[in-house]
Amino acid sequence: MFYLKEFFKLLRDNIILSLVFVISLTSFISLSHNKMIVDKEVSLNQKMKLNPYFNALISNNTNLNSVIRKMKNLPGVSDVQVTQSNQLKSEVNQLKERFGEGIVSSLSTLNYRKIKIELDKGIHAKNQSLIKEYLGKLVGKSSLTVGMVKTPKQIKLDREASAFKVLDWGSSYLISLSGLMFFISTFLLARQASDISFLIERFQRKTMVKEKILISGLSVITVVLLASNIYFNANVEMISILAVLAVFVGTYTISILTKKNLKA
Amino acid sequence: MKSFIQRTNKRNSHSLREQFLYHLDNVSVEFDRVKALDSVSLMVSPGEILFVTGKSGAGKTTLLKILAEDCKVTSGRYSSGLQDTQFVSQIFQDLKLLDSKTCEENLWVAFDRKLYKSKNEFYADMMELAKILGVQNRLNIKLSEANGGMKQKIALMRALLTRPDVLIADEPTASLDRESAMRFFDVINFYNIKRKLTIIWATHNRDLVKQFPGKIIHLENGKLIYSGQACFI
Repeated sequence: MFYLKEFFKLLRDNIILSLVFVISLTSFISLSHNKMIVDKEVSLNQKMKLNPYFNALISNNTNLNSVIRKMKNLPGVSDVQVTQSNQLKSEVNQLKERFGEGIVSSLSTLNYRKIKIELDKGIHAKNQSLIKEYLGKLVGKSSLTVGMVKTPKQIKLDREASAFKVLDWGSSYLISLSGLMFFISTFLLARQASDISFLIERFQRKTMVKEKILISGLSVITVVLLASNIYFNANVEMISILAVLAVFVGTYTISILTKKNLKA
Repeated sequence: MKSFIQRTNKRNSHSLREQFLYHLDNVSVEFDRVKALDSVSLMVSPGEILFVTGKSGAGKTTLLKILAEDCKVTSGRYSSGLQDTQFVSQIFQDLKLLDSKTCEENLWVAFDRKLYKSKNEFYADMMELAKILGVQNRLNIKLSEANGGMKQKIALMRALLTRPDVLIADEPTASLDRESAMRFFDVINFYNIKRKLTIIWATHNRDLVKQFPGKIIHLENGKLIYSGQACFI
């Protein structure tokens, strides 16, 4: 608590420098966290398949593996996926919410698996029907329920678009700039802290005061920042932790360097 | 036989540690090939008052820096008998006070919860010292507005409020008139008797030193040229 008090006293005594310090630290952690989220979303979007598909419910009595293998070999079919049972359960629950318990209860008693058949892009409607018919013959019509062919409406992000490139470059540039501002302001604050820590070390029975002041202050600020980022983004990623670690290592190095400068 | 010698040496060094707070043996310090101290040998006992006199550039500050462990020796041997629990307080030549703060705020720098049970206890000590030095009504002024004498008194008070075992003072009476300097010495002397405070005091005022008990060493061009009792100088 003593060191934290000294940290806030230091900020109060150097208001402009403190503003630069807090703003640059906030920007550095928030921007790097947000860039990571954007990159992740874009990467997911790139991986997302936009092929037309249809779902089918198949009785468990049929040999599912054989059906999947045969369907995969069929021209016009790009992939066949089996929906996990827990995913299916959640979908059944959604149906329950929509249509009521009574209507869906019969569904729950059925013993079935859901498969998703992805078709090739631009496949003709006639060929789509042929694929469905083939599936019907494989499984038997009494053991099969087939859904409509759907095409995902997801907007595909163009990573090569110049607007995206500018934004991507801008955020990297801002992260570097805020990082640089943070290190400069920390260096200047560390020099101020070294004055007061020199006095405290000489007139109180304490050691490594400057390091403790800076680390305790930084801890509070970064914990608040991370907590708010988690609150708004509902997750914390490795890159945020790495950014915080970089901040701590940087500050510690700066404080050691300023100590050496003073002694020299 | 070998173990006996080792045991005897160990016992001797232990008794030396108990006997002497600082022990300098042929110590030299060089800065950029210029000798600031030249083969100085010295012993300081606990509870002793040691005056270090000499002109500017004689090596007084360098000697004090060695004792405060702010400077390393180039050659010779330096050993300290200070224990971990013992504390060294300093009055610096440039005082190292915070100009933007008031005199009282400067004194609060010495408030250590390991030493004082409460802020009231510290404040009582502070006011007692302020009364002795006659500054109790001027503690609220900004340090930048205080005169040189007042600043030196604040530096002394701050050093004493740390309840030190050793006080190292580098020309703390330079800006004081004779009467204030005498009062200053009286306070220090009182702490020496009352709390067995070891005092190492650099000054160029040899006339003032004569009136106080204690040891004196005189330095010239980094060399120790006189060592003896202050009253016999």
